[in-house]
This record gives sequence, structure tokens and C-alpha cells, in this order.
Amino acid sequence: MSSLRQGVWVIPLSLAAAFIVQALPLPPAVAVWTPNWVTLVMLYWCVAAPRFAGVGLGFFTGLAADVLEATLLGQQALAKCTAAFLVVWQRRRFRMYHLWQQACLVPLPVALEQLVSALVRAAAGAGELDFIDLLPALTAVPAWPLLFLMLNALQRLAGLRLTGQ
Amino acid sequence: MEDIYESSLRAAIVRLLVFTALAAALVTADQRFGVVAQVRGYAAAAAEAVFDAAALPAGFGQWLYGAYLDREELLRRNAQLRRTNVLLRAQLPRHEFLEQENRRLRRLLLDADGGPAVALFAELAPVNLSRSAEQKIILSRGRADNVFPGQLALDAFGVVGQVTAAGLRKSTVTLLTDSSHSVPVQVARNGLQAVVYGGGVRGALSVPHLSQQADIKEGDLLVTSGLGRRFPAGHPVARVVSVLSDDRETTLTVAAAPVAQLDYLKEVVLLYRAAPDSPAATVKPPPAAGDSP
Repeated sequence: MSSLRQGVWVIPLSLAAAFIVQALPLPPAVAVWTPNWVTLVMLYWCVAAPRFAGVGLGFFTGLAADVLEATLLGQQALAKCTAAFLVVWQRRRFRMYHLWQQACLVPLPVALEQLVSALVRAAAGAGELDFIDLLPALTAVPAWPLLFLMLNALQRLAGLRLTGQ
Repeated sequence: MEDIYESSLRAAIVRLLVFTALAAALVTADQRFGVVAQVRGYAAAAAEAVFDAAALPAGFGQWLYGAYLDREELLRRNAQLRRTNVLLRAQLPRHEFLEQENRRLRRLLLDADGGPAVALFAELAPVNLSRSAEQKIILSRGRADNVFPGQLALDAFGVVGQVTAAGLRKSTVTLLTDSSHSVPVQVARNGLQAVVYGGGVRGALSVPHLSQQADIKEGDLLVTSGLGRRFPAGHPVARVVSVLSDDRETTLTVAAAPVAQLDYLKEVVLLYRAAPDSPAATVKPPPAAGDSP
């Protein structure tokens, strides 16, 4: 059993790193284009380590984001767990694809997350939907292969088992 | 193999439903009751660590910039600051005179003086927030520096917002444009009382509940009225952008824009009343603010 859990620590570690990268100060014009690193890392683990990562991981990652940015508690939690579900649902198909094909599909869960988050915001009476919200989904395309290769190497290094079929 | 997949999918669906319900409950609890504020306080320490780490490269960059900054550039900037300083100092006696007169007059009007306003200086933490948190800013000062919820945040031009959460060394300011934010104001020209609400978008404010007969027009300056005893009075908040009158309505539709430069904030001044009689006293006032008039 312990061998199964070997290397799980890379999941929280990589997420913490993603949170820091996400919070790096950037000029506003660039900041709206930055890919949602936290979501992408979370989605990677949903694909690569479904035994440990899934809807629950999405929820708690989102909750951490809510606490960090002082947004409505539950707003990003709901958004991220929806995105995680989409990936968990299509995980087996997703894993079959080439990296570049995956990169073309990854905007879907990211866009879903942005939409849900914006909807909750709008429902709470704060702001409205804006196409700027979808920019991170666009930049997720080049970001995914990069992140995939990095996290894959990290996963091997940590010895976390790839529990796919 | 297929049934394992099916069952794990079913589990994922169940989990999605459970977590969705949980998230909805949290959002409601946070919005309606604000009970989550305490929970937030506990998690704030971890958040501070993340922001500190994210601020490191910027701090290094600034150090580098400072170390290699042109001597001439420094001298030029110094001269400019000195000029501004002289200008401000020239205006100071007048302000002091006005403040004294103001205090005397207010003492005539009210039994209790509002108490002197205490000012704190706080820099923005160099961090990036997602679009969801657009109407918030993070300050690199917290409870350890006497920052506490309820303080009014100002820039050189006017009101920025108010402190809504204070960690030990970081705090969150909700901008006055946040849809959950409102400030009691008066029209500087004639003293007409009103309340300014945030529009949820940067730069948008509204002033509802004014009757059709209210004397307010485009270009009017709105300043804090001090009503509700939460904020010190007389700080510029917004300028009226448009006043729409519709005979079918009982109230005016008034739009305003903040006078503070919310897009160019680097530091803010936090103001609060030293007097312990404000309703904001549900929050414990800082121990250092002990000078009563």
C-alpha cells in the first residue's frame, strides 16, 4: 500500500508552486493573458494520477484560491471542480491523444472554469461576463505541452505511479 | 474493465454533485452572513506565505533597479519630490487652520467629537490577483502594523475602498467599486446626503435612492459624510458622471466615477477614527491608538 502512495507529495508541492507563479506581479495588460497555471497543474494530475486527483482535488484547490484571493468562498472551488470533472469524465480518451491534440482540447475545461466562475460572480451581483475571461483558455494551448513535460518528469522523479490502463 | 470505468465515473458524478452543493452553500454563507470571515483569518497565514514568495522576484528587481538607477535620474526625482514637498507644506497651515475650525464647529454641533483621524501608510503587495478578485487589492501590512477591518483606504486623490480582512502581515482592501461596497457621502456643493454603491466593474459607481427633485448634477463632487460614524468625513469619493431623469421613475439614475486612481495604485493611506465609539468597534481597535481629545 505504501508503494502505491509513493510520491503523492508532488501533487500539493506542484500546486503550491503554481499558486506562487500565478501570483507573480505582471503588468495588467499581460496579466489577463497568463494561463491559469493552478488549473492546468490540477488538470494534469487529474489525467496522470486519477487515484489521487479528481473532482475533490479541484474543489479544494479552488477553495485555496478563494481564500488566497479573498473571492467569494466557493466560487473558484465550484469552477475548478467542474473543470476537473470534465477531464475526469473524458480522461481515458484524453490520454490517448498526442500532446498537441491534448493542447488543443485543454482550453475546454479552462473555459468552462472561467465561465462558471464568472457566472457565480454575476449571480452574486458582482460584475458581468467578459470575453477577457476567456483569454487564459487561449494561452492554455501553448502552456499545456510545456507543463505536461515538466510535471511528467517530476512525476517520474518522485516515483508516483502512472495509474492509467 | 468497462464496469470499473463506469463505477468510477459514477463516483465522480456523485462527488461533483456533493461538491457543487457544498460550494453553493459556502457562497451563500459567505455572501449573506459573512460567517466565513473567521475561517479566512486562520487560512490567511498560508496565503501570506504565497504572496511573500510571489513578491520576491519583484523585490529583487526593484533592488536591482535601485542599485543601477542613474545618478542623474535620482537627482531629478529628488528635485521633483522637493518641489512637491514645498507646495504641500505651503498648503499645510491653511489645512491645520481649517481642521481646527472644523473641530470647533463640530464640537458646537455634536456633544462628542468624531475624534482625530489616525493615518497609516501601506504599500500594495506586488502580487497578481485573478479576474475574480478584480475589485480587491492586497496590502503588505496587516494586524501587526495596526491594520484592521473597517479602515478607510485613500490615495492622493480620494477614497480607494476599505479594509475588509486583515491578516498578520497582509490585508485585503475591497475597492469602492466592488458591488458589495457602499459609502455614505454628501454632495460637496450643497451637503445633499446620499450613498455611493459599487458597480462591480472598475470605474463604475452608482448613487441610487435620490428623489427626482434632488439637487445633484453632472460634475458634482461627492465626499464622505461621516454618517454611520464609520469613516472620517470630508474625503473625496467620486464625481458624478451622468444624471438621468425619467418621469416614470420615482428616483434619479445617477452614475459616478471614483476620483481615486484605482488603476495606478502603488500605496494607500489608511484612516480610522481613534474614538472607540464607532460601530466598527466590533473589531478590536488597535492598542496604539490611545490618544483621545
